[in-house]
Amino acid sequence: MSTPERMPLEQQITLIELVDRVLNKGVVLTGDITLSVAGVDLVYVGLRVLLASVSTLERLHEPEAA
Amino acid sequence: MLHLYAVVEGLDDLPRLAGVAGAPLGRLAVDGVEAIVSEHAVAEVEPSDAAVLEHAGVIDAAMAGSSAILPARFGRGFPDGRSLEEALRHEREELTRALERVRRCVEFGVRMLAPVEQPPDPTGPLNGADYMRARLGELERSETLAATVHLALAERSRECERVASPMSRLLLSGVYLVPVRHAAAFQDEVRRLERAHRDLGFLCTGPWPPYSFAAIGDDER
Amino acid sequence: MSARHPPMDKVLSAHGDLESLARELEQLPGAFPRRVDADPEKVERGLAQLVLTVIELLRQLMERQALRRMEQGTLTDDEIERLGETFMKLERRMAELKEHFELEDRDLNLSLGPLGRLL
Repeated sequence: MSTPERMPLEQQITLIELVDRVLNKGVVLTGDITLSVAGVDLVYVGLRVLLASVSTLERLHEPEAA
Repeated sequence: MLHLYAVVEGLDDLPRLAGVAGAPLGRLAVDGVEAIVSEHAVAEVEPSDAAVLEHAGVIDAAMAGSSAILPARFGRGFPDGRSLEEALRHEREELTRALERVRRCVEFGVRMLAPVEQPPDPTGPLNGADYMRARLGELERSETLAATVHLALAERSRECERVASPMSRLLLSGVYLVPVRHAAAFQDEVRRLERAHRDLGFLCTGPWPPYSFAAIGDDER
Repeated sequence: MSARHPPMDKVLSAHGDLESLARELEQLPGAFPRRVDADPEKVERGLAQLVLTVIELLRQLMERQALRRMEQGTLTDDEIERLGETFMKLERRMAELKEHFELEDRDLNLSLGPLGRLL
């Protein structure tokens, strides 16, 4: 297959959309070790915690403005 | 190992094409839900570009030949038929509910892109407050716009999901579960919205098998 | 073995700046593994890329936080002024750093793995 850069733009976009669905969406059954959790970089996990706490902070602020 | 493509209901014949790496397709039924699989000699099938396309191709074909389909994420596979059977049996209720949820529906993806931001006027003095007001204005306009478009599409969908990302030019990333019989009307609405917002970039893809609405149970697994 | 190509009938409509759109989509998880640069000589640049991405992410997060509070009316005029000045300075500094490391905006949007969806 030609490298993504050499593909026509629409085909490139379709491939991105398709890969996103096949690798990140779709049903997961127990017993099938998927790629999602294994091998996640610690940096990403740390950032996820940060984002979660920021969202919480935002929610906590709302009652103040009410 | 067994590679899983989808869980289906009402499948007549297996799709007439090969699966990943040319492996022949097989089927495995448990209490009314059926899995489409292929067998591989390796321990794990790599999600190369080719494999991903082959996987998606099987799902596309299977959707045409079934009454309801849950596309499976490209996973690491099952050691054998027995372990897959066990998994299907274990999740049978959830799978049945999920199949009902997506029955005779397709998925559309819609993305909306903001135009390139105009940099602040370098000639005029821009103080902190001006900057903040300008940024807040932009943020509010983007959010209102994205919400309007999303709502219009949500009203024509059975279900939908939206990811809001104000941190990039992608103002809207939505997926919409649409009954097949309403698919044309949905596409008409997308075109109407594109015409109404000519300065924005739009991308509508589909119809996809319902990948984004196939999940069961805990998302985090 | 003949390779399958992406189905061409999946893009129903696409208008506007498709180049930019494709670049934005490339940042999504799933697209990222195809872009990894394994060249050891580019390690330093790669590290700068990662660090600046994190800084840019935090800057955007903080700015959004501040804008929310401004919207809610919980910031004083003085605070708004100072925050605005700070964010402008940060933006200018980020531009300088990007230039120094020869990085474009597109380089600073590394896919954040499972975080991609949250953003």
